[in-house]
Amino acid sequence: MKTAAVIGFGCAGFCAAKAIREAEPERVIDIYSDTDEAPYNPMLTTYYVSGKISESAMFPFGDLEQVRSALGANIFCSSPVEALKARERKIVLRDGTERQYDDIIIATGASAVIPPIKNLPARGIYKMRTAQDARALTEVLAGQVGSALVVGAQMVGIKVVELLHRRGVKTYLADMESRMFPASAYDTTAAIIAERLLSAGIELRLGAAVQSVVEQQSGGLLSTLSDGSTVASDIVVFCSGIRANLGFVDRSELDVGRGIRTDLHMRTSAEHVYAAGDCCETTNILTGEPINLGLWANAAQQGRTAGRNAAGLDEEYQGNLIQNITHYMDTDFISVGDVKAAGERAAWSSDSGWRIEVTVADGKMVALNILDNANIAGPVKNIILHQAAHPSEKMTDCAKMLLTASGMPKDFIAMLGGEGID
Amino acid sequence: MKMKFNLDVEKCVACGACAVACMDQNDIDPAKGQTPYRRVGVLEPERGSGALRYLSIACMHCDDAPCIPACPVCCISKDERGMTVYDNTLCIGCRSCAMACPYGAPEYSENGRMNKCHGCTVRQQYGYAPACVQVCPTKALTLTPDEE
Amino acid sequence: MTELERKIKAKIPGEDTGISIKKTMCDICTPLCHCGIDAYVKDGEVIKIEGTAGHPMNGGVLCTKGANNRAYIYREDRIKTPLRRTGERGGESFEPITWDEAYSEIAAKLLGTKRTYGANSVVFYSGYDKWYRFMLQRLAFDFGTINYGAESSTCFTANRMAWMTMTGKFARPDMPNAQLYLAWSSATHYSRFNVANNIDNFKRRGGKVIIVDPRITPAVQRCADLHLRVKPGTDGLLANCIAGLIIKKGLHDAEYIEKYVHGFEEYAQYVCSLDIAEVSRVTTVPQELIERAAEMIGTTKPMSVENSPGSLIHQTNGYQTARAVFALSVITGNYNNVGGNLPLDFTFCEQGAGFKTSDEQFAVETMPSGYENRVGAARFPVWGKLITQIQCTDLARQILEGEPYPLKCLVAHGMNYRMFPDSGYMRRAIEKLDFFVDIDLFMTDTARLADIVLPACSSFEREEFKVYPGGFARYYMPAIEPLGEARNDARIIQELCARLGIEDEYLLSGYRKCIEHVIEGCGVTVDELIAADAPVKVPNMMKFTPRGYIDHGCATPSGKLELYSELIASCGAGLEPLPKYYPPSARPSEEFPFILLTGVRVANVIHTRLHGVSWARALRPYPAADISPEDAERLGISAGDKICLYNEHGEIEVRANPTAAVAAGQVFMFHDYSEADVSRLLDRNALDAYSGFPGYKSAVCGIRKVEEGESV
Repeated sequence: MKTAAVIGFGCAGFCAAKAIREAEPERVIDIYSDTDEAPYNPMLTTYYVSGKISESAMFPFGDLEQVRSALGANIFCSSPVEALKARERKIVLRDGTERQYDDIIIATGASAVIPPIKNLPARGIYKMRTAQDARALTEVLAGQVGSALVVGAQMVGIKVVELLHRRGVKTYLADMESRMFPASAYDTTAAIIAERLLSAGIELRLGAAVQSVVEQQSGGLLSTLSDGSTVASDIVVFCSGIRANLGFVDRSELDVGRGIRTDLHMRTSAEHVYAAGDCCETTNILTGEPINLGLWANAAQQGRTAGRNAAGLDEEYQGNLIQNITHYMDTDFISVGDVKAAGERAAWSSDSGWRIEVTVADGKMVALNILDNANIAGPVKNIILHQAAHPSEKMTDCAKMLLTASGMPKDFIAMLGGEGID
Repeated sequence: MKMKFNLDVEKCVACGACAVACMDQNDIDPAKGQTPYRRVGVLEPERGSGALRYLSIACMHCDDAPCIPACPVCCISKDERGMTVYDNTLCIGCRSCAMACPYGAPEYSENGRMNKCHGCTVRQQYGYAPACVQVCPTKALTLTPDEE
Repeated sequence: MTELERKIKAKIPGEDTGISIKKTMCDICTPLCHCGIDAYVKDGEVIKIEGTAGHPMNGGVLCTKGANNRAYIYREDRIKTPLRRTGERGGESFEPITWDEAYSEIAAKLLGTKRTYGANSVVFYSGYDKWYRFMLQRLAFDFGTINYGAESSTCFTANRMAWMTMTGKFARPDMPNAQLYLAWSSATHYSRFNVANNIDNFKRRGGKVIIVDPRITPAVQRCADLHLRVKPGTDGLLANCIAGLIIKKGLHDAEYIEKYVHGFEEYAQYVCSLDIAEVSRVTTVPQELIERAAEMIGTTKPMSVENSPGSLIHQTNGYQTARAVFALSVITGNYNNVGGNLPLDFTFCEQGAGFKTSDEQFAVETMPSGYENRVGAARFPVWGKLITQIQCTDLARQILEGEPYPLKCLVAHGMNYRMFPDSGYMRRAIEKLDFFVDIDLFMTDTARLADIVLPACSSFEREEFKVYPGGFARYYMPAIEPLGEARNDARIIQELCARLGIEDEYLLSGYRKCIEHVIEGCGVTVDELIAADAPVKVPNMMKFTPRGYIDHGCATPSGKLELYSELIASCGAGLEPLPKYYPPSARPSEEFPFILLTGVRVANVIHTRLHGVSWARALRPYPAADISPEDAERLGISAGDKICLYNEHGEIEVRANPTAAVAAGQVFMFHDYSEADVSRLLDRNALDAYSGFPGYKSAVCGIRKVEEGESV
């Protein structure tokens, strides 16, 4: 009987196992997890802390028992894979046990990065990635928290800011970069976003890295920032980004960049070894270069692709597209592509409040920001996807109508249709 | 049986009866900022070429619906009629499905929860056509078995 | 969610869900439709509607307007009790009163006015709908006034007059049997979808279609073998020119003409004198297309002609234009022949269904003497001779000037002053009245001018008799109770009749008895219709014989089909007995370079009734003018921009909707918006001298972009 191992049990791991099970009812599937929990969604942690969802809702596929029976898999909890012999398709567990499989899917995800600050205090320091992180922050917020410093002005940071602000916590937001959403917003968009946060009463410390955090005698924390300012707060929450979990990988056996390199079948450089989700790196649709992204929907699709290919089917993933949508404090911010890419820029805005800015290179849109118009995010993103896959095809009537009906300017639609900027 | 929506663009005149029937069926009130799950539009001809085109668009109930994996709380799924249905009690209003959908189908109510066309799947279950299909005065919009 | 909860949410009818289906009808648009509706009712409230499957009019579907019925009948401004105005006319101050108080006040006022100024100083008026009109007209006549009128003064009737002048009767196209269908200006996809579907079917079975329309409509794109994109208002010239070409080529039906037609020689002499090059220049239709049209019309038999109930005739030359168009059916021998145009005797309420009722006789049986002195009859003598109503386009003038005699009271069902050209003129007239009663569903801008406002019922809340083409009769019962204290128009007429002390046994016995009376001889009874709760085929149908009507002698002065109208000739100087073309009053100038066409049909609204319904609004949220992309570009205007339409009468602010459907130099604007009332831009004296119809489409205007911060 054929066997498969899934290393890591998040979204990609679950979707991979599910795809194998759907294709091959008989296959033996072993799942190795470093926790004793069902797959959680890192994106839901802030929603749990904010009280919007229950604790169990952080586990969208159900609890461990439900997941186990849905997958018909052996789930080895708290059993991290210590090493991988990719060429031999062998895994090595902590106790030295080695097991060989017909197919292996690596889906170890990514972990939050805390900046290298010396002597961080033992208490008052939080991060936001795992279900455990969420429980810890929830617990402290149940007590007396009057002020907080959030480090990292990205997608996670902004949601933490929102939930703190809603609770009436005096909130500071710091980032070593000098603008909001440094990885995904244009200067112009970032300035509008910053302006809104300031007027909502958020204290911004942009262009200021945290250099030290010390515990004060009063019990609070005092953070010193690289711009020379200090922030006194009850807690500090690090939301500084994530890094792929690759500690067990032998780079001589697997091609690895910022993540494990895969092709669009999610195949790694070793035969019958696949990778999916936040730990992998695959082709960027717009540039053709490999890119590592941490996005739930990508993880699901990559996991499914890896699982199906491991089960002998032939499926291709569409490729990675840098994309984010966040809804916070009455703002919708959408970004697609690399805002730092070179090209010609154009912007549109409306009386009703939305704003769009794009970068066009060689007649193609390579980056986009949308403020406050979530309705067109999907159509616009999918036009980009479609064009990348079918460069010679014109925009569909359907897409054109959706944009027209949403009040998009003619020249924006023409630009999306590949006609460049007027 | 799996079903699919079809629009005969040679018959559609973008009259909007489908959108109104949708609002009637789903108690949607635009005065409160709500929008129908189906919308219509007229596309003007490109410079120097041809005809005006008329369309009616809603959730296409895609075979491989990208909104389903995109939803972080897994509230979207397929039912036995192939309709892309949802239970928004867990919806967190994160807009991920909006980002996934090529057709701009997901919308968000005042309480922040996603709503979209559910294909009138309960009506189908009890032998009634979806409201938009039922009303269509030019019979441009139809629901037919999906022969794969 | 339990299965029952899912079913209730999805509004599935059944005992378990408590949702039942009641059969009713839509009366939002023209009585030519009045589609069947399944009302989903729960706890006495309509929670959803649908078209009635198998209904002869709509067979299960509905149009955009009809789909709005639930929101329409529950509009927030529904009037729930009789009201008495306590403040200024047009204001918000009204107090609820009882029906008894309302009737007492109305009766006292009407009878007092009758004593002081004579019965003719009281005017009875009907807006939409038409179902109670046969009773209202009779009530007016019973009361002693000659002045009963309706919105029909501006809609459809001029077409009826044009056919009557030529043939003695109205006529309908026999499209199912035609080979060629000549649609002269009809945007049926957005007005009467069943006609649009008929054209589609006609086309599918191989019929040829000519459409004459200044716009590119869906029908033009999909069905037209030939599209004549005529300049608005020049249609009559085009029709006459085509007739001339047909005659010159000898394609007319000489045998038919010889036998049945009166005045052919004068007519032929006129139409043959038209110079096609000049016609082409004026109408903007290329010469070769005019020739092709003449060839097709002259050689493809049978041909039936149809025009919209209200577009050609909304030009100030509309009546003559309609005659010129219908003449094409006569000279080709298509009139009264299979597949051509068939004489139509209305069955009931201006709907033809192939059998006879006596509603028209019922309405005029008690007509007082001196009827020729009714409002507008002298000013518009052709109207005066053909139509047994006042011509309401002369109503405001007579109220304001008091000539030739004063008008003091107006009792109106569903009146809308905005529909009259220069709407401020009619408003001022109403304000001058001693007493104004308005009966309406909603607190409209017109109702706010009334001394007493009475709450009427929607079609869902009343019983109603309807006929449908194909020989169907239907008696609808109420789907729900009247909202608040609302009462249906027919009951109000009945009760007012009693309060006025009029001894009319029919009116006093109520609507159902009146219907029983007028359908006597049809072969069905009201009881049978009620028991059927569905359209019933009427047994006693009229028989059709090709040429039967013209063989028997037409109801015209000469007894023939009159291309030269003896009726017009008898009206005296100034009116032209031949359907000669004269230019419409719209004359674009440097100052006002655009032809302004108001009242064109759009999908989502009709008149005032759906502007206040958020579902309908959602489809077209702003008052918007359709203009050509070329004009938009030249003026620097993009879709959705605020623009100002202006002329010497005033200006309104609307949004721009540039569309290739519209030709350069033309502006199409829908009417009756409170916030952008295009009637204000219409000349109250730009009226068709024959029909009295307003030149809704014979105006001119300028367009300019409204700059930011500017308010018009």
